[in-house]
Amino acid sequence: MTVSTSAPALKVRRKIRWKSFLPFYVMALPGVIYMICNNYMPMAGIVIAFKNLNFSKGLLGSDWAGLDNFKFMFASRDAWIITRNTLLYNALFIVLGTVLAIATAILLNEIRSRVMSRLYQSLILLPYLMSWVIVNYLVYAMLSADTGLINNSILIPLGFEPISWYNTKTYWPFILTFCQVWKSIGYSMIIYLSSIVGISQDYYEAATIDGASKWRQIKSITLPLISPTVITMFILSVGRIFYSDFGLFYQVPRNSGTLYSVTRTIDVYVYNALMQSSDFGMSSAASVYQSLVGFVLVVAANLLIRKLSRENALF
Amino acid sequence: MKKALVLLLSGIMAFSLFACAQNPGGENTGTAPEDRPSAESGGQDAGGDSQTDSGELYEVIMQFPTLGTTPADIQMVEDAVNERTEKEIGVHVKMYPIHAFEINTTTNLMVSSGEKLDLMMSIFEQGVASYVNKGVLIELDDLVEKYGRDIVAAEGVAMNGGYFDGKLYAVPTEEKMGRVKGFRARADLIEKYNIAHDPNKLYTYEELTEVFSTVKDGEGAGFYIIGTSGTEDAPFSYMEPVDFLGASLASGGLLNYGVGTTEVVNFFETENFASAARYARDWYQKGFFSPDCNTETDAGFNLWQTGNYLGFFSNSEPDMLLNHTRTAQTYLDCDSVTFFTSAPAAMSQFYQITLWAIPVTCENPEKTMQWLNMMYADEDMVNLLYHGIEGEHYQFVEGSDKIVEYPEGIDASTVGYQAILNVWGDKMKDYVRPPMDETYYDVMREFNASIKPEHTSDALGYCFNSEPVKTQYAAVSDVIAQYQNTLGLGVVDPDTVIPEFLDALNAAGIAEVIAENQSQFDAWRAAQ
Repeated sequence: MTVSTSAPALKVRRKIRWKSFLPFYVMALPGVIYMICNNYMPMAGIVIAFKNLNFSKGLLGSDWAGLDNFKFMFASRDAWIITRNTLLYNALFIVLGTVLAIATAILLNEIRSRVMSRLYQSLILLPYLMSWVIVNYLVYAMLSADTGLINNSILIPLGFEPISWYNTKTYWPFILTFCQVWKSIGYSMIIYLSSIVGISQDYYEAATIDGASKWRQIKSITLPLISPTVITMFILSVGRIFYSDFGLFYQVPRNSGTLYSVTRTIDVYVYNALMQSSDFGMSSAASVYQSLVGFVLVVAANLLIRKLSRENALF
Repeated sequence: MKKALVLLLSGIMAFSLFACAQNPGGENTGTAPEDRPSAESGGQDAGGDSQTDSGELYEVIMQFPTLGTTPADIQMVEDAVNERTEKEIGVHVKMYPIHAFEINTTTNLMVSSGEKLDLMMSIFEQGVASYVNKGVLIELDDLVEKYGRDIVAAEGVAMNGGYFDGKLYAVPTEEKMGRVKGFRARADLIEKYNIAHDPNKLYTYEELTEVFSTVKDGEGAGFYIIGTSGTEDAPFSYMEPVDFLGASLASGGLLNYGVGTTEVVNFFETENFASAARYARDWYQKGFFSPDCNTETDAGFNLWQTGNYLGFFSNSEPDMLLNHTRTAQTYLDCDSVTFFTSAPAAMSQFYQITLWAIPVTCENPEKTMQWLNMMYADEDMVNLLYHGIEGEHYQFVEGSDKIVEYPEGIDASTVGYQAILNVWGDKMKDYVRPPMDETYYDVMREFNASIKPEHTSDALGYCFNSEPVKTQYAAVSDVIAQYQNTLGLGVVDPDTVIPEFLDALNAAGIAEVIAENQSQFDAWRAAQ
């Protein structure tokens, strides 16, 4: 993408440049083919969202359904709650995830012992590699009403009433946020850490000579220099703000009906609503809707960033 | 540079060619069926036939549902099948192994891409409605009449499970003509507390509560009465005989076994449900369920095996009882008893579990139906498909021509062929393994005969089509997913939550769904 934005200035030398870039194009080729096959060709399937799919008539021959397939997403009285949950949880995850991941990356970067630094890194990354199904059982081991660790080893010995965690709504926004951050922080932390490591030590040496404190160094050197990475990551996650992690919202609360008002997101709703009828048109409609909102948000976020600082915008 | 590009491109092409070439040899053939003229038939005269008669031979690609592992000797069985079918009905059968949980998706993909498929299985779906609405299936009425006499004879009343919109689209594989529900309990605890148990009586909530209380009081905290997962049917569905009219409770149902009533009602609005929810609440508060029962992921049957539960609600036909008793003897070292909660009944949702159907991709439905009929008519064929080849995969127990065992030196894990899912033809013709004995089929026939007319739904053969109200149906299904089991397991207080539930159902449009169901049902009745 950077190649194409700088292209106009280099119009004259384009021919020569093109030749020298060829190896890179060749290297990119498998990826491009993969993208076309995997991400672009299936887009033709968007048409299913507007059809009453009938195999005997074929994909294109099926009757048009207009926007009928989209209606079910707004047919629920809880449509507003579902949308709110999806957006707010994701917004929270983006903000909290970014801040904590950067903080951890900076702290890790300060550890001088290489062995310990690697060890911490791996430990923090470990949850990212787990499936939500396993996380679900870990959380269950903590929160289960009769055998759970928290009720049996903490609340009861301290003289508190045990809590029926899976049937009490109040705690779940915290539990879900904790799980998500705990699980995902390792991955984004590594991305930030790698860009922090890439910062030249000269800046820090000069700052130390000038008597800048550690905090000052972080504020004036580290943060500004990693801001392009932060912005890229931000835009990417904004694009997925209307998607929710089905594993997190379905597996971790163990699909407890009593928690629905705080745990239900669009993906969980679509799953529950279409389990009975397995309607292709309606499920495609749901994902077309999600992609569309995501696309608009990505463009909007990029536009905003272009206004604020042009060189950091993604496109 | 150009050279590199050419090399790379040709590399990719070679790779994709290679990948294509791999396909027909793999498990999931079907794209290029004629590549494999019954690989091992050389020794038999059928081998010559399949070459010369290829004009007449029709190849039937048939799904073979598995649970992940394809039997090693499937080709051997396929050849044995073809040795007969090629001669007798001019059909070459090609088995297409496929995981039962992936059948729905794979079938849709195969049919939508026009891949050859002649005989498909609908499994764990609610009937054929979703397939018919997508235009996947062809009608079978005429075909069954012409070629499927034995199917009708074997399936009887169960044939009703394959109807949609008044037309037959699929045939079931049921040997049980009905279902009976009950609470399955450990016999040792029932004896320990001197609880009277009458196998000929239908227990009410009140009577069950008494039984449960006695055991719970005696065993104390940490021991539960009713094992259930959060996704299983809640106890009320075992206590209340409601005919779902071929769909789910999201489109209402007929009360009282579907007998003597033509009014489609919202079950959740009835006093039956309110009272069921109050009993469930009582049971929950008395500690009959585990505190997290609505989020439990293990099935009641598996929880029961841990020894921490008295029992679980379950279908209780003779084969289920045999299976449960065997489990109880293995894991709990005791027998099991059943407190029946509803009479042996015939209702529309019972026959939709496993169905054979012919998709639109089939080019010769007549031959396919002839083959399907042979599966129901021919005892040898049924058992060839189910147990494999005699001597190779099973042998008769001495002195019996019905009871089989593994040949010497082979057990369930090393046998080369065994259909894990028994969906093959008329199951009353199956050979059985111990502990079942020759009386098993008599018991089963007795059970089938025990279904009384007053427990046989008037709506058999009707199946609701949710297509005209699919938006509301989806929204209602979602509301039910949210409330059904929290109320059904007594986790929440029914006095406050039922009104909330009914509000949500109405907001989602259950009235429109039920009205649509009622008008379809009335039209169907008028046409009968």
